[in-house]
Amino acid sequence: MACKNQYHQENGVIWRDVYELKEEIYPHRERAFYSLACNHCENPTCLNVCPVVAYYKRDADGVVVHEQDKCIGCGNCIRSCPYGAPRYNPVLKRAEKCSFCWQRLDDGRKPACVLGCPTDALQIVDLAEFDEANAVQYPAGFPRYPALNPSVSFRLPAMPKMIRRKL
Amino acid sequence: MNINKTAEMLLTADAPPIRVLWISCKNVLSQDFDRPKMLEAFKKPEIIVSVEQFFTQTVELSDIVLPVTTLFEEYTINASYWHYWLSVNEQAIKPMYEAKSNIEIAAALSARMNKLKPGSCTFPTEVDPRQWMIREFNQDIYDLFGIDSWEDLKNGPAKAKMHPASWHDLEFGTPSKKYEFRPDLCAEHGHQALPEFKEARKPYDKLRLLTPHTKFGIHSQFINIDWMAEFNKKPYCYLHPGAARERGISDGDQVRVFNKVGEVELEVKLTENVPADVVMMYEAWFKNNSYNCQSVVDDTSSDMGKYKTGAPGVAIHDQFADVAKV
Repeated sequence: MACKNQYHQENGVIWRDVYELKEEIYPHRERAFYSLACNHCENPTCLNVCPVVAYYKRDADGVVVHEQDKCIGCGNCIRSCPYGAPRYNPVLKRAEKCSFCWQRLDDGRKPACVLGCPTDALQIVDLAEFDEANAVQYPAGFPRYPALNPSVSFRLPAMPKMIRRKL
Repeated sequence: MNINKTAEMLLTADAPPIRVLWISCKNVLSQDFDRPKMLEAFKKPEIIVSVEQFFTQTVELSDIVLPVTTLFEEYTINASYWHYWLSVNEQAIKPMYEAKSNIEIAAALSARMNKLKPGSCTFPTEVDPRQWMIREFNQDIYDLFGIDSWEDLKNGPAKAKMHPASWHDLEFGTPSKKYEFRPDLCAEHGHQALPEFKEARKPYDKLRLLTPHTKFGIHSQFINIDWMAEFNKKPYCYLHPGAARERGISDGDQVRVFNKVGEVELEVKLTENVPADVVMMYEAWFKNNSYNCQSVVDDTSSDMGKYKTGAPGVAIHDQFADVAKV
């Protein structure tokens, strides 16, 4: 909601959403989630399939930027991204996606989602230096696309200890 | 009047009876207990006026609706319970269309009443909302928040100089400043001075009904806003798989939650997060959705609450209901 609050995208257009983990992955319903948006891949398919070069990847931090004014709304990026990051804006008839709040980054501020997360579940890390034993690139339920190399890392949820009376 | 029994009071008050209902800062038809009784109670007053920002369930049943300013359109002070912060809310835009702030409405009402019958209302007949806000401050408030002027709040909110924990100074907030095993205060307010066992409310239906707060709103606020509804589109009730099996209910079924008070219809999610003898659904007001948990919550008083709030609370943890597939 921090993202929606920041950008007020058209109704139905969501850049970042929170997905409940299935009970096969985490034993309690609505108690563990993935918060997912554009993964700002090392090799972004959106950029590769765009016929009008409306995407570019920033050298300094790797953020994949979509320039909506160049977009012709062909939908190539929407169809090709396996993570479903680019969304169709039905009013502008163009694609759009998570910008990683690059304007905020350039101003020394955190992305809205990172700032708004009450549990610090979202953080910006430098993947070149990030090294944590419990962190993985492809946690259960998150699609594996090594050719794209999504720039994300997940700390796996600790399994809860079940203490329950016999019913 | 017992504010937790609004419907009952509207129906039974007779010395004098309630002839006019003026509702402000409250969505009665969404929030007050025993909605079926409230629907009856709303037939009684000769006129119902609501002061609102949204077309709420209360507005639907009002005779006159006065549009009230949002926080963007008025000067006011925000001081909430549950935290110690005080902040000033500066007017960002002039009120849209016919919207007026609550106290401007009150002043206009006072002016009218005094015109019809001089002296009938003591509220000022002309107020400047900003000046009114400034008058809410005094030296005690400045001292409590460590500020010299309300204008200091323009730099950011101030926090009350109060310790958040009881007994931080090795004194309790009791008259004796000690832990009281036999508090006179308790006895003075109709309770036993010493704890005694009291029988809990007898279940009157098969499942305990819990209607807690949702993370997507505050009572009936915010859930109705389009961009927040994107993440919380509609209500659900939560039922244990065992309880569901006994009733032939599957995950995602449309079900009725019903009891002696009334019923609601909504989709069910099965989860072991709730015990087998519980049905849980969040308190909420969704836009374009008639769901209302108060349709199955009665207004039976709990045993405490009068000392702090002037009226006993409602036994919202001792509500019961059953669930059936639609």
